[in-house]
Amino acid sequence: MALPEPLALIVEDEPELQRFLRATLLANGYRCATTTSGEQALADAAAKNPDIVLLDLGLPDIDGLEVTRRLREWSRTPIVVISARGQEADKVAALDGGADDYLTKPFGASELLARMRVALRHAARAGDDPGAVVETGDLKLDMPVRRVTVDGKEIRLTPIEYKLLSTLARSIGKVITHRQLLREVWGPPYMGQTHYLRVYMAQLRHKLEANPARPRYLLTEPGVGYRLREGLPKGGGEEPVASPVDATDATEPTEPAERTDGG
Amino acid sequence: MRPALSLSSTSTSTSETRERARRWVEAAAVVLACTITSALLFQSVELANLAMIFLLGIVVVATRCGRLPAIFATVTGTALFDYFFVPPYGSLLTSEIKYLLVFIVMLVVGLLISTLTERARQHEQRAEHARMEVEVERQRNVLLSVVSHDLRTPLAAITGAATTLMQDRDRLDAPTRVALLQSIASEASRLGNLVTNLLAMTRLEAGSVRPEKDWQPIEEVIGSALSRLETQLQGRPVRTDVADDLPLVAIDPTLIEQVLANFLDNALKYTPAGSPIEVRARASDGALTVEVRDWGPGLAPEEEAHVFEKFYRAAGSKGRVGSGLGLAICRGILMVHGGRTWVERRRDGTTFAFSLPLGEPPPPLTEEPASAPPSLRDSSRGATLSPP
Repeated sequence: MALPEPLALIVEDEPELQRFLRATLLANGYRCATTTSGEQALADAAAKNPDIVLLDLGLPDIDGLEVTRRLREWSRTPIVVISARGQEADKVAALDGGADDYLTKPFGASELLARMRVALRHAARAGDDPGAVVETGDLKLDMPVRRVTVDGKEIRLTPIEYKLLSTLARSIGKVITHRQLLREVWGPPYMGQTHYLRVYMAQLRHKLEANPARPRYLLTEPGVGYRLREGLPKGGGEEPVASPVDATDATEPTEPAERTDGG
Repeated sequence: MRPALSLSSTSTSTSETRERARRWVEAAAVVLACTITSALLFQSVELANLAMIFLLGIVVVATRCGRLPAIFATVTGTALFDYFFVPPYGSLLTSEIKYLLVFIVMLVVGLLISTLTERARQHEQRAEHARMEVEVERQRNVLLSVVSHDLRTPLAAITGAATTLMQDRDRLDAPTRVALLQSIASEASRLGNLVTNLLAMTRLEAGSVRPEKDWQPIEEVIGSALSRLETQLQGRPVRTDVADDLPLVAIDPTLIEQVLANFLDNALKYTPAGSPIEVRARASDGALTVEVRDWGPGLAPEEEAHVFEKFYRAAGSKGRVGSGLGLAICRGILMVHGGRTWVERRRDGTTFAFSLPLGEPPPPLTEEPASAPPSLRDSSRGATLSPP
């Protein structure tokens, strides 16, 4: 973690939402710069060199997607986009255009902070290198030896399954779009074949999840992509304590939920 | 990839053409039937009685086929009657004045009856139109009153709590302040849900929802609906029973997730805290069926028919109820998917279910494409990836 407080550039044209974002971020150890237009955001990003950009997709002047693309031409600063519900296509376009994650209005403070924390941490690492071993809950992925275990038991994966899991694991906590996963795992000719991805994701869930119909690790972001949930508490495979965003702070396991395995 | 949803305008006009053709064919068939019947009875029955058969035919056509086919039946019927049964046979000429009277009576009766039935038909249409207008008006009034009540109540709570916090902040103790803030947050989210539902319902009714269909396992959609409601489902035993051999189904995942979330939300609202919920998925007869079962007090028989209607709220919910739109939205979403949704009353609870057509199987997967690194290329499916 960098010593000075991270500077967040808030690009939001609604005054009330801007006020909420400012207040929340200032109270949680961020410094803030705010702007209301896309052009100004690009200028500010160059002049102020923020650590993270919080970008509303619905801006009055230029499209938030355009801002994302132009910013990515010269900057690797993490971008978290804010969008309205039902704008799945815009979210996907923003993520494919280089945004790091998204928030759907309305969202609460804990969700906002969790998304920003993940984006900042990924940016702090050089490129996409989370380290040799990725661990969340009872799932452990030992990259150098390509070993996957759940609760200490080794799980046998096919090459594709492993590649899928390791791609998500390298960006643990971050959403990865269908296109990004298809390009990474199968290669560019397969980018339209989303059912490949879904079938292999289902296989992977059947191997890793206690109940594949109620996944704990491999989360679906409907219409957008997948996310490997990070920071799950160890032990048993019980349901996480709270919503996905609060799970990072959760330490107390809850009572095991009754369930029937799908497999 | 967007399927064309609305072909209704063309199909309406073809069905109208078909209906018009049916009337004419029916009119001709009735006249033909009258002629054949008369021919069979010709030897044994008096000529005036044969005229009655034709009159009966004209009445039938006039009531069933409308005005023009009725006139057609009257004219052709009279002509055929004259041609075959009035001497001299095989000619439209007649020598006797009494037969002329029969023709005139047949013509006048035919025209009168067709005019009368046409008038009755128009009356009925007008009455139907008026009934529909009343119904539309009633729905609009329900909408307005529900919306204004449901929007104003949370707004009043939010405004009240917020102004109290501003004016009396020093006089309120900490727990009261927290309670007021909690009520602001929960009422705001309630308001948000209502607005979301109203928008969804409006878009579905306007026919502007185009499902972005994609082949996928239903298991994934069930999983994402359950994790969306994770917080609310805490403390509830949730069972999932998803058959292993389910084929992929072409659906819009965000819309079907919404259906499942609404079913689950409904179960949470209408069943006691801590009672179990089960999600089941099965495939049979070319359709995929997904059920959400609860073990609540159940629906009254008379409620069953109404639960999918807009703004209908069943009795017996805990606390304040929802928008009354959730299940109506489910029905709309299933409709744009070519599926259907229903409710079953069980002895020990309620099952909400929907089914989707499975349709054409998706293109098969090629086995593990050769994009795996060379070292892994010869590992077979299911082989471990750890070094030997």
